[in-house]
Formats: sequence, structure tokens, C-alpha cells
Amino acid sequence: MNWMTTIFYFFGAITVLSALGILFTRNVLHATFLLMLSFFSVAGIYVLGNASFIGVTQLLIYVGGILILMVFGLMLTTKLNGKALVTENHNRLIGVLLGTVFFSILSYIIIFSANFEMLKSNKTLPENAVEFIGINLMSNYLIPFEIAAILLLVALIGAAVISEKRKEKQE
Amino acid sequence: MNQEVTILTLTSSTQLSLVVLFLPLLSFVIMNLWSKNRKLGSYVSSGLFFVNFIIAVFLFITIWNGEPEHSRWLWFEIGSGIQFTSGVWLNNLTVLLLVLVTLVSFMVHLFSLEYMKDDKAYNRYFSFLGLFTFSMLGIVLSDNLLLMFVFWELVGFSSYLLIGFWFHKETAAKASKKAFIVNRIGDLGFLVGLMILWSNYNTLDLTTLISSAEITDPSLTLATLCLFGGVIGKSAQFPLQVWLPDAMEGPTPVSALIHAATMVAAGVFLLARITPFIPIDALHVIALIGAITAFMGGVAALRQFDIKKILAFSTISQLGYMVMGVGASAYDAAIFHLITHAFFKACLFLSAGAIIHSLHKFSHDNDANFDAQDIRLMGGLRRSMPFTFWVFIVSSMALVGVPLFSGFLSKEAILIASLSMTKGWQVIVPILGFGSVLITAFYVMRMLLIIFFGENRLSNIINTSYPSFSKVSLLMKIPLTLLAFSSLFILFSPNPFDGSHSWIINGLSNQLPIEHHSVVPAISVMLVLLGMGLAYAKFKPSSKYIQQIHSEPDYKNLWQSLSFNNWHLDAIYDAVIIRQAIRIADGIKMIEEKLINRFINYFAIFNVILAKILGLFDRYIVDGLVHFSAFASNTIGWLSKNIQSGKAQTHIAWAGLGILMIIIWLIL
Amino acid sequence: MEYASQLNNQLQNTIALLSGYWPEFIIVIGLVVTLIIDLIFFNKEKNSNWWIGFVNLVFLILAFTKQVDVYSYFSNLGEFMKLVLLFAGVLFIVFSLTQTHQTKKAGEYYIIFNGLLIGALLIAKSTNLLVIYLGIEMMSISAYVLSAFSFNKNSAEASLKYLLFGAVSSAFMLFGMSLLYGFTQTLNINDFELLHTVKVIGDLPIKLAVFMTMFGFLFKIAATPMHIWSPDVYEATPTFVVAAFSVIPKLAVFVLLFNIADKFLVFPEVELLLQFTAILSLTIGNFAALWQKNAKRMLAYSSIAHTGFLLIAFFANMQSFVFYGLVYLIMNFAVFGLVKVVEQKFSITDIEQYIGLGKKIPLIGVLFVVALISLTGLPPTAGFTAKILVFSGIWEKYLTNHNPVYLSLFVFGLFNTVVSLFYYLKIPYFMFIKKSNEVILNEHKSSTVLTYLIGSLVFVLILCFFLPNSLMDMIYSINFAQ
Repeated sequence: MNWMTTIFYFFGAITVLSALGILFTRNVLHATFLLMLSFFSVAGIYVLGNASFIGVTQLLIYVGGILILMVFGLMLTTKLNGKALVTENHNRLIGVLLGTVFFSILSYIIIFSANFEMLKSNKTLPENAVEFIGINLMSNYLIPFEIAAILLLVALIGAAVISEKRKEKQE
Repeated sequence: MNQEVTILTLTSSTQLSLVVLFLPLLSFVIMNLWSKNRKLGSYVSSGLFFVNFIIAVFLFITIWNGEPEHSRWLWFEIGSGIQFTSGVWLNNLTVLLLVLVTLVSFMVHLFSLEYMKDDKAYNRYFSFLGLFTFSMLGIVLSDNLLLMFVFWELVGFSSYLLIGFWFHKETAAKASKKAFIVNRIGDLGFLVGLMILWSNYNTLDLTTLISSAEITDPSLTLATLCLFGGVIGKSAQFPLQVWLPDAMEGPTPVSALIHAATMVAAGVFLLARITPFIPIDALHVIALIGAITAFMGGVAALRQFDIKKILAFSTISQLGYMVMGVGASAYDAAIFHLITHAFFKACLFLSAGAIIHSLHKFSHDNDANFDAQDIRLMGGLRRSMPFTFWVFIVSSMALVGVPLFSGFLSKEAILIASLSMTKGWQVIVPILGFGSVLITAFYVMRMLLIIFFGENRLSNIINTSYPSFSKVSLLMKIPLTLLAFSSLFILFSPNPFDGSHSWIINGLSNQLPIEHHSVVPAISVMLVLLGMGLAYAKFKPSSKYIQQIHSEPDYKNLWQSLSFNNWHLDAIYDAVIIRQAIRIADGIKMIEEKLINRFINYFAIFNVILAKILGLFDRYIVDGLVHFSAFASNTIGWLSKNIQSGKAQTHIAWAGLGILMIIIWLIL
Repeated sequence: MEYASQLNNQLQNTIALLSGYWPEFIIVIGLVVTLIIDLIFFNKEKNSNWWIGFVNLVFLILAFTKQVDVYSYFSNLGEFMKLVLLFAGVLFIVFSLTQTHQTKKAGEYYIIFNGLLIGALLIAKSTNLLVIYLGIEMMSISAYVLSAFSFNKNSAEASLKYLLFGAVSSAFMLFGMSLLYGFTQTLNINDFELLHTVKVIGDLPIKLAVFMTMFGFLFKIAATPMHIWSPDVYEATPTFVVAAFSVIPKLAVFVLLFNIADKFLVFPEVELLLQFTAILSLTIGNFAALWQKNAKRMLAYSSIAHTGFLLIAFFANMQSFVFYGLVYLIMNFAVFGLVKVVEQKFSITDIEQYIGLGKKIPLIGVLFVVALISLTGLPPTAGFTAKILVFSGIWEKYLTNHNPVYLSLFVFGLFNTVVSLFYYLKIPYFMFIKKSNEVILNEHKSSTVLTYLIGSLVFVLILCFFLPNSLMDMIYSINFAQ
């Protein structure tokens, strides 16, 4: 086990543990910070996997954008009633049961019965990954790229519609 | 039995004829949607009908005495090889009827603009007229008995709508129901006829049938008689004529369009279409039925006091003439009479409408409550409504068959044809035919004298001085004038005494023209004079009868009762058919209660049991598991407060379980 | 130099590919124009429904005509079904135009519907995993928002449930897709060589990946076991939106199933999964519908059952599927429209409240009867013709391969047709037959145009029974070999 593998497992462990922590904590603020930890370590895994561009975007978008937004939202809503935001868990037993069974079956199938050795590709990544991704986004993947744009637009408008309604109701 | 159907492409004429067909439907749609501006909508629809008439005339000029045009396309297919076609067949007969239907329809539209203008359901009225004309044109244009049957039913349906137009009046609702049901009886025959033809010849296409039908085939006699059943219903022949007098409950212009000029003529038209393959035995039956109807209708018209009822019975009688003409192998003469009758009868109905309209208005204005259709209350209208009087005179002279008028020409042609039937019992046909001439002259003269001559009798009922009636408006005058003009001989034959060389007969028949007869016209003119004279003697204004007529009862003796009640047919049907039917229906109802209801009960019980089982399943297994998980949550201490959100999670859990099972199945 | 020319080639290819996306492009323009118009010209108080709806209609019709061109060029199933989807879109907008009281957020309503439609069109066209995923997400997100458009508590709750359920199934699907990508090294399904990959990777993981991808698809067509969301959502969502929900995503995903069938159905297990799902959906949908009291909820279960029928049609042959799909579209729009009319007039959706309505609104009642008869699949309606085609197709399949599963599809289909009769006829039963105690209902104005529209749809249903040929000719113009 060389040091690269060690770091990979380290990041992996942090990802999984912090995700489990999100599940088990009842304080939403804690969950948010655990989520940040989880995103960080996922970014680490990306970098280790030679996908440094995705690692950076992961940090920029999720940690830098979305999480900050969530924290702000939390701070503002907490201020309304002055208490910490606490959630509840339902159906724990069935959730745990289902989750365990799913986990064991999927790991059985994917990890123990798939022959990954044969999949080793001999593709080499280009040196300038950002340029490569950029060109592909604007040529081969132009259509999915544009669709994603529209998807985000629709989602944005949808979010606006739903949240606007809440405001009306409060008034 | 596979028979390839040849497809005939559309020509410019057949395309045009499709335009003629669908314009009235367009009018129907427009009038349905156009609910805001009453006036404009009806004018647009009348305009459409005028355009339609022009196109029809153009088609007439193109096709008449030229090559017939026929377009046909695949309609639908059942299984493989059993193909039904539909199409348009334009020949002389078609275009003639096309012009007739569009013209009368247009005239009725014009007339109705004024006649119906105060009615609440003005738009509905015009939309129904459009629907009716559409279906009627469909009958005329179809090249195929099945398609014709479809339109035939549509005509029946739209006539049902129009008869029951004032459905809040109970008599109108009843009359429309009666007309619909009686027509269905005849249509049953039509349908059976279609089935026989299809099983024998594998086609319902008219041209194919005409060329392939073996005239000696005994099943053909049966098939054509079954088709004739449809005619009996639609053209109000004996024994199904009972619906037509009741149908007069509809608005008067409708009576003019449907129950005088077009729909009732559809039966005669159907006979003319299939006449090439009607065997001679069937023809004899047809002639006999026609003659009986002509006679019975005439007799029933003798003692009616409702102006529209007189005209209705006279229509039955004239339709009998037409059917008799077809039966006497002279379908050309029958169609000739159909055309002339359509014009003069429409004219008669519309002028009757004008009379009723102004009397009705009078009763409305003076708050007097009397029956605006009762001729016992009329009289002397010659002076107050001179225009209507002259129009009425012209068209009723045509109806009687006085020389110089159109009816004379066509009636002579039929009478001459009927003389060919002299063997054995057949002799009854011409006898009844000539007898009806006498009767017609009598009741027409009676009607004229009572309505128009003498003094007005309204003052006997209500205390007014001599009543004055409103004038007939211009919109009503135009159609009346045109139709009255069409009742003159000049339009049909240059020689006012010889109908057998009329251009209509020449255009329709392939045979040599019928020999000109001089005896028949002479006899019939004598009969006419006799009938009119007798009537004058009895009903002249100075007679005692007329002096007392305003208090005359409906009937006084057996013979009058027989005529007034239309041979008591309604009573007979009521006793023989309707009551028996009700008895049978009661029996069936009992069976239903005992048998079917029991079955339904058992089924319901079965359903309840099934529901119980599923309920149990739901309660103990589904809910049980849900409760178990809730219980598990309880023990840990996390009670779900928001049941709804918990439910969403449970739902997802169920779906997850389903997925899990499938994946486990995949592994195993 | 070489790199530049290669890049040039890539761009040329992309541009050539874009010409097939004209209809979607037009809708996107429509979406943006709507957004701008709504922002500039309409404030909250104004009733903008008519104007914005009309603008959208124009764009949709433009897209439709463009799609006719595209179809005449490719003439395959996907492009034909895109025509059908656009037609459904036009119907939806025309229906929505008749809403008189819809004043809230008309602009957003149409924008988000356009999103739904674009997603559906992409799914029907593409065989690229990425595009399929984006399309399904676009459709789902739009659907979550649209189901909240009643703006009441139930509606918000249903929307949230829908979102949760959708997220779970989306996670499954994405997991499956990522596995597939990993195993095959390509996103394009047409390049998949699954049987070959099986030799490399092993049997189970690939089947698992395909299964998990399938679950995402089954969620969108509301097939068992992924159907549980639909009754709650249908009940709380605006009725016209339900009509669109029950047709547009469903048909789109079915086309997707056809597009990927020859790649995915190489495994008998996948085929068996779909057949099993068909039988389950039919049975559960029909039996659950028997006990429903709310008309919309009942129709939700009925549409689950119809998913089962569409799956049977999927196994019968393409022609019968297209016919069934078209007829299903028309009758579903008709029935939901009728439910809406009654809702507008008397603000009721419970079937028991329909009591005696047959006398009050006979025209609506008659239309209801015909549409429901068509849903049951009885003559003289197109529903009957469609069912006949499906059953005869599946029977022929059974005769050629003697697979007992096909026989059981046939038997279950027939059996369920009988079962469905009982709950469909409940509505006419209450409207016409059951004696009412003269419950007085508040009557509001309802749109006559809507009634006429539904009338013409019902007329088409009857027409397609008597003249199925013209429709069949249209369907036979599709190049099924592809």
C-alpha cells in the first residue's frame, strides 16, 4: 500500500463518515458543516483520480457557492425563532434495514462479482485538461451543455414560484 | 369472395358537390358557435345557403344530360379484403334533387328570418336547419346504400330535433318521439335489406348493384321489399303514415322543408335510385301500397280543421301518388311529381305559415286566446291578406291538378303509367289513383272556401270589430313568389296539357317517352271539376254549413270520425301493438327483476367479499407492517409527529422494498 | 494545423446535428420570450393567462410544423412520437387557455410546462445517457413545480412527496447509468455491446446496472413498483396538468424504451422485468381504482393500469403501441377535461357528488360516457380498436414464440379490461342512474369552448373507431425498421 492509496482511503473514509454523520445528527447546522467536510474529501478523491478540474469545480460550486448559501439561509431562519433548527427522523428501523440490505447486495454484486481488472483503459488524459473539457463542451457535448442551461433556468423559475407563494401566505 | 374495389378519383364536379354537401354543415357549426349576434349569424347562414344553391345550379348545368360522374374511395376495411367504399355519384337524378333541396332550403331560410325572429332559440333553429340540409344532401349524393343509410338516419335524427323544436310543449315532444320511433320501425326493414344485399352481392355500391343484380333472383324481391320498408317509414306510407300529421307540431317553415319538400321525398328518391333492380313482383306491392296511401291520405284530409293537418294529409296522399308511380314502373314520372309537389307544397306550407304568423300576432296583440291554425275561425282572409290569397290559389290549383299548373303535368304522367296495371287485382291501383283525384279536388276547394271566402268568423269568438291583420313582410314575400311561380306549367313543359314530354321526364328515363294520352287528362279534368263543384255546393259562403261552422264539432258521425281520426290508425296501433308491447315489456321486466337483478346482486356480494378480503389484507398486512414500523419508532422514542411526511417516507420505503425484491430475484 | 482541422470537423458535425433540434430550439425561444413578456408587461394583478398562453401556442405550433419537416426527413418512431408529444402540448395549452379564473402566475405556468415538453422531446429523440438523464431531470423538476400550482396545502405536500420520490428514483437511475458508463466506456447507447461487455465484466453487475437505470424510467411511466407517488400527486395537482402528466412523460419514456430495446432487451431478465411490471401495474392499478372515491384519484390508478396496457402494446408491436398511445392521449385529455368542467361548474371531484348531474348537464354526461367507454375499450370507440390491435398483436407474438409469458400478458390484459369496466362505469352510474336527493350545488360558469373542444376529441374517438384507416395509414408511414 503506497501513500497514494493511503490518502485515497483516508478521503474515502472521511466522505462516508461525514455522510453518515449528516444522517444521524439532528441539528441542521451540524449537518451542513458535515456536508462541507464530505464535499471537501470528494474533491480530494477527484484530484487523486487525476481529475483536478472537477476537483476544483467541486470546491468552487459546492463549497464556495451552495454551502455558503445554505449556511446563510440557516442563519437567517434561525434568527426568526431564536432556536437551533432541529429535524426529526422517521421510520428509522425500516430505513436502517433497507439501507443495510441494499448496501450488502450492491457491494456483493459490484465489488465482489465484477471483474474490474479487464476494464483498465489505456486512454491517456491530455495535458491541458481544462482546454480539452472546454472544447468538448462547446462541440461534442454542446447539446447536453445547453440542455443543462435550460434545466437550470426552469429550476430557478420553479423555485421562485414556490418560494414566492410562501411569502404571500405569510403576509 | 374477395372482390377488388375500383377506386374512382375525384373530378372537379364531384369536388364541387362535396362543397355543396359540407357548406350546410359549416352553417350548422357556425350557428352553434355564434351565440352572440343573432341577426348577423342567421344572415351569414342564409348567405351560405344561397351560395350553395348557386353551386348546385352550376353542377346541374354541367351534369344534366351529360356524362354522369362518379367518384369513389375506400371507406373502411374489415379484416382483409372486405372493403366498404363511399363516394359521390352525380347523374341527372342527383343534380335535379340537389337543385331542389338547396333551393327549397334557401327559400325556407329566407322565410324563417322573419317567421322565427322573435323565437328565443333562433340560433338553434338555424343550426338544426343546416344539419338537416347536410344530411339530406348526403342522401342525394351517396353512391352507396350503406352511406345513404347513415345519412338517412341523420335525416331522421335532425327531423326529430326540428319537430321537437318547441320541446317545452308536451305535444311537440311527444310528436318528435313518435316520428322517431315510427321511422325506426321502417329503418329496421332498410337495415335487413342492406344485409340481404350484402350477403348476396358483397357490395352495397349502387352502380355495381345495378350492373350485377339478377332481376330474377327471388331474394332480391325480399331485399327490395325490405328497403321499401325504410321508404314506408320515411315517406309516410301506409301503414306507417301516422307520424306525419303529428309532426306538424314543429315550426311551419320546417314543415315546408322537411315534411313536404325534402325529407319525406327521400323515400321516393331511394326507390328511384334502386328502381333498376326492383323485381316486378315487388313493384306491384309498391304500387298497391302507394295507391292505398294516396286514397287514405285524401280521405283523412276531408274533415280536418287544422290548416297544417289538411296539408299534412294531402302530403301523405301525394307521396302515395309518387310511390304508386314508381310501382307502375314510371320512376321518371314519380320524380317529376316529387319536384312539382316540392314546389307547390312548400309554397302552400309557407303561405299557411304566413297566415298563422299574422293570426298569431293578432291574438298576441289583442290578448285573445284562440287557435291560430283552426280554419273554423278564419274566413274572408281574401281581403285582409290578398297576396297570400293569390299565392295560395296558384299552389293549390297545382295540387289539385288543374291544367296550366305544374301538378297537372306530373299527376297525369303518373296516372297514365298506372293504366298499365290492369290485370286481376292490380286494377285497384288506377281506380284508387283516379278516386284520389276527385277527393283532392274536394278537400282543396273546401279549404280554400273556408279560409279565404265569406266573412271573418273571429268576431264570433271574441268581441272585436272586424280584425285587421299585419301585412306579409318582404322577406316572406320573396320565397312565396318564387315558389308560386314554380308551380306554373311553364317551368316544366312548353305544352300545358302534355306532361309526358317534359324535360324532366326526358332527362330521367331511358325508355321511349310515354305515349301521349288524351283520355286520361280528359277524365281527370272532369273529376277535378266534379270534386270542386261538389265542394262549392256544400261550402259556398252563403250555405247553411258555413254560417254555422264556427261552432261545428270535430265530427258528428262514423264517417266523419273515420276521416278526422285518420282511419283510427292511432287507436288501432295503440290497442294492437303498444299495449301488447307494454305487456311484453312488463314480462321482461319481471324476468329482469328475478334473474338479472339476482345476478347483479350476487356479483355485488362477490365484489363486497373481494373488497373485504382486500380490506383485510390492507388492514393486517399493509397496515400491520406500517404499524410495526411505527411501533418500532415508538420504542426508540422518536414518535412521528407529522404523519404526512412520515407517509411519504413509507411510500419510498415500499418502492425501495419492491426494487430490492426485484434485484434479489435477479441474483437468484 | 492538424488539431485545428480536427476541431473544425467536430464543429461542423455539431452544427449538422443541430438542424435536427429545430423544434426544441423554437420552444426554448418561446420559453425565453414568455419570460421576457411576463416580466415586462404583466404585473401580478393582471390576468395574463390569455396573452401568454396565446404566445406559447404560436411557438408550439411553429415547433409542430417544424417537427413535421423533421419527421418527413427521418420518419422514424421517435420523430413521429415527438409530433404526438407536441400535439399533446398544443392540446394542453389550448385547454389551459380556456381557464377563466387562472390569474396566478400564468407566465411561470407556461414556462415550466415548456420545460416539461422539452424534456419529453429530448427523451424521445436521444439515445445518449447524458441527454436522457438531463431530459428526465428537466421533466421531473418541471413536474414537481407544476404539481404545486394549485397553491394550497395539499398541493404543496403532494409536490414535496413527488420531489422526494423522484429524487430517490433519480438516484437509482443515475447510479445505474454511471455503472453503465463505467462498464462500457461510452455514453451512447447505440455503441453499447452489452453481450460483449458481459464476457469482460461478468453477468450480474451489468444486469444490475440495466435494472437500476430501468427503475428510473419506470418511475416516469408510473409503473409498479414505482407508481406509489401518482395517486397523491394526481389528486392535488391542477386537472389540466394531470392530463399532461398522465400522457407526455409516459409516451416519451416509452419511445425511449423502444429506442434502447435492442440494446437492453438482449437480457431475458430485463424483458421479464418489464412483462412482470406490466402485469403488476395492470392488476394493482385496476383493483386499487375500484375503491377510489375521488375522480382524479381513480383516474390516477386507471392511468397506472394503462401503463400496463402500454407495456403490453410495447411487447405486441410498434404499430399497435403508436395507435394505443395516440388514442390514450386523446381519451385522457378528454376525460380529465371533463373532470375539469365539472370541477369548474360545481367545484366537486368526488364521484359520489356526481349524483344526478346527468340531468343537469346532459351533454357533459354523454361525453363522459363515451370517453369512459373508450378508456374501458368497448365499441364504438377508438379505445376498442386500440385494444383489439394490442391483443391481436400479443396473440400473434405468442403464436410465433410460444412463450407462456405472452399468454399470461394476453389473459391478464383481457381480465383487467373486464375489471376496469366496473370503476369506469361508476361515473355514468352516478350521473344518470342513481336517484338523487336533489342536492343543491352552487353552479358557476364553465367554459363552453372547453366543452366543444372535448366534444371534438370525443368525436375523434368515435371517428377513429369507424375510420381507423386514415390513422393506420399515418402510422404505417413510420419507418419501423429504423
